[in-house]
Amino acid sequence: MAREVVIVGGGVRGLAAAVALAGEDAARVTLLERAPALGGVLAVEHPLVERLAAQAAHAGVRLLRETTALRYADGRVLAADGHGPLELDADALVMAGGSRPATAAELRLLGTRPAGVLPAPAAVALARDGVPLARRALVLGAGWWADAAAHTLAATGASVQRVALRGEGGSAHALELRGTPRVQALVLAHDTHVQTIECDTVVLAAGVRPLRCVEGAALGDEAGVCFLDRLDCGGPEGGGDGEQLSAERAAQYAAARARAALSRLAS
Amino acid sequence: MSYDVVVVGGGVLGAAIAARLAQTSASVCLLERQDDLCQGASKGNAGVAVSHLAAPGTLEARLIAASSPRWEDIAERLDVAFERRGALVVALDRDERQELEPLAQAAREGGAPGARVVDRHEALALEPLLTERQHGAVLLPGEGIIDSLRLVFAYARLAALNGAHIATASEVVGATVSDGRVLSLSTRRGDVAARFVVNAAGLGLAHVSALAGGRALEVTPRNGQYWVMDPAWGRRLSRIVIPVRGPAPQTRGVQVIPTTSGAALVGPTAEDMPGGDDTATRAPQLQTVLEHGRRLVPSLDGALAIKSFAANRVVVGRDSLLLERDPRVRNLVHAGNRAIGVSCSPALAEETLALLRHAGLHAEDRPEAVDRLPPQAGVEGRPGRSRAAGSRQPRPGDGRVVCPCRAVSAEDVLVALSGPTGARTLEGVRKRTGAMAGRCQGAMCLADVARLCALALERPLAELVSAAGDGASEAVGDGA
Repeated sequence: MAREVVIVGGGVRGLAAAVALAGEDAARVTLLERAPALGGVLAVEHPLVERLAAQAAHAGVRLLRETTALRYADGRVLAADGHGPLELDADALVMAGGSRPATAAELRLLGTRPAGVLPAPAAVALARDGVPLARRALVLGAGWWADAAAHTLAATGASVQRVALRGEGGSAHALELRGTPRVQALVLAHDTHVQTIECDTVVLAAGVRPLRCVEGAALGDEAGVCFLDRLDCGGPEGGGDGEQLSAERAAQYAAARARAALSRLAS
Repeated sequence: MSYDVVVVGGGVLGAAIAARLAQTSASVCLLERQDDLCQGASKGNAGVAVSHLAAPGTLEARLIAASSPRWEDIAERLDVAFERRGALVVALDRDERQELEPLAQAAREGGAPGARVVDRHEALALEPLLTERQHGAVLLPGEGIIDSLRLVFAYARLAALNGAHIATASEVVGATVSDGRVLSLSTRRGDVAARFVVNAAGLGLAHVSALAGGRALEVTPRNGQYWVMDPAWGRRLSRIVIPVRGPAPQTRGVQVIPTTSGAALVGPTAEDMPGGDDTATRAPQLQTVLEHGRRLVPSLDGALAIKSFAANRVVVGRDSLLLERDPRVRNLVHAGNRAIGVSCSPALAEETLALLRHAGLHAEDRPEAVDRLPPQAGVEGRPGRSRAAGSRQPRPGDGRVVCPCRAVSAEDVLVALSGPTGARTLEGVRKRTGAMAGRCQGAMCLADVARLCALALERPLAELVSAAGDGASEAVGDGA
């Protein structure tokens, strides 16, 4: 009896899981990637991405690009592409949707809700296209997203200041946004003092959270779901064991975990 | 330009009134101070369509009773999500239990005929997330939840389809008044002559009345802070959960409210803040919200919050409803509500038309007027379509998903950007579609939504993204 496996996310982890599972007995694997190209945070021409994608295609994995998974319930995945909705049977669901930094709410960042406060993935995507988002940017956070944001914003000509929070090697705890209609400052608390940093843009790049937008597979403990996106620190390739993994290691980790999860499901 | 009726204020009441008036032979103009509709009190709405709140016999109670049964029909015609979930008003101790029967009685008299007391077991059966430490509740089966932001824009879109002129960034800064009548209003974008004026300016009610020579109104912003909880938890909530006693007689207290998108709202606090429209969030108030919410629904966990916000309700004098002709200026009508603008908007719009007709407005209902909006297919296609596994049917427009958290398609965004009541900012798209308002708060979709907006509006990306807060727009390099 074929086991239908649906993998959400066509980055390194999702691809590695797809290759690993396609080889297992009687598993039919479909991978859903919402972007037009595979690779996730790596370019589609990255050698590892190219290799895994070729292996996956060769192994009969159904690779669906520009297809967004929306909901998982009762052993079925609801997804949508440009043409309309798509329902897939899923005896097992593998979540490999990547990571994002913490939102303002997750950071308990209060105060006004002014213009000029952006999540790092959005800031990076736009700054990479040369959009001049800021003159004086404050990048909140340390790690992969913060590095990417600082780098891309600086390339657009913005002056960039960085602040690391407690838990990521810094000593600050972000308290409050000030300014209206546009942000004018961020107030941070350190152990001994309060700091106010003036800026016209705040990029939220602190903390790492799994990026999960599939209803029914959001909490990380749902039955029938293998989560490859647990991250304790580091960047998108972090393995949940406290170290930042290289892309190769991330692929190995994903393959091993996916195999283990599928065999648990079978038993 | 000259209109039969100029409505001042683009929140839920102004939009509802404009929509109703535009179905008559009267010419209508809606003036909104800010750069988009629904930026004031109506933006911070909890999305409840009450079946009962006001004391029996009051005008407010009559307006609620007249509006409440209409929601299924309104929701279907205006393509707005509405669910009649029911509410439990929960007694947390024996004293509060004594209040349940009188509460149920008042609700029945006030126009909620199905209201009844339920014991603690039935309360738990009706809402499994309810605390064990309760002593029963009043069930209000008629209470509903509604996508209130979408409702405001639906009213406005309907008004525009029926010929109303909707003008944003048009703050009223003066008026020409003669012989006890307003002749015209001066706005930041020009003057507009009016035979009748409806002052539905929310927090600006007193200011607009003063400009128009009307009676002195006393308006106090009542600040309320809210948490928005992740749908992963919110979808487990069945009913609206309300405490018997709020912290003060005039306020319902912190409630736990499921939303039509699957999230849950917890709040509001109630803090009168004379002198300002402050929407900053604050730690102590938000902490109170969580604590009070957990008394009702113990599984509420701050770690599952996706957003917090603050909004100011409109307290006018000592009553919660203001709907009257001004005693001094005979062609001026004031319309305001503190807590349930959404809930009474259908009947209040009807009542405002009646008031205007009584004041001499000629407004005949036009049988050919539009009374429904074309339904949007959304990501999943129209309801009732075949959803067999693997089947795909081609559909018009761009169905590609832009915001996965809230299942918003590119087509939804483009519709939100279109027409005379279309969005001009990312915040406008957020209010109309829910994009960027889900769990990841725009991490996945903000860039794509911005690109779509830039293309559709032919505006530079930097300028659009600079308006990415919940506030107004202010680009870097904007005339600096």
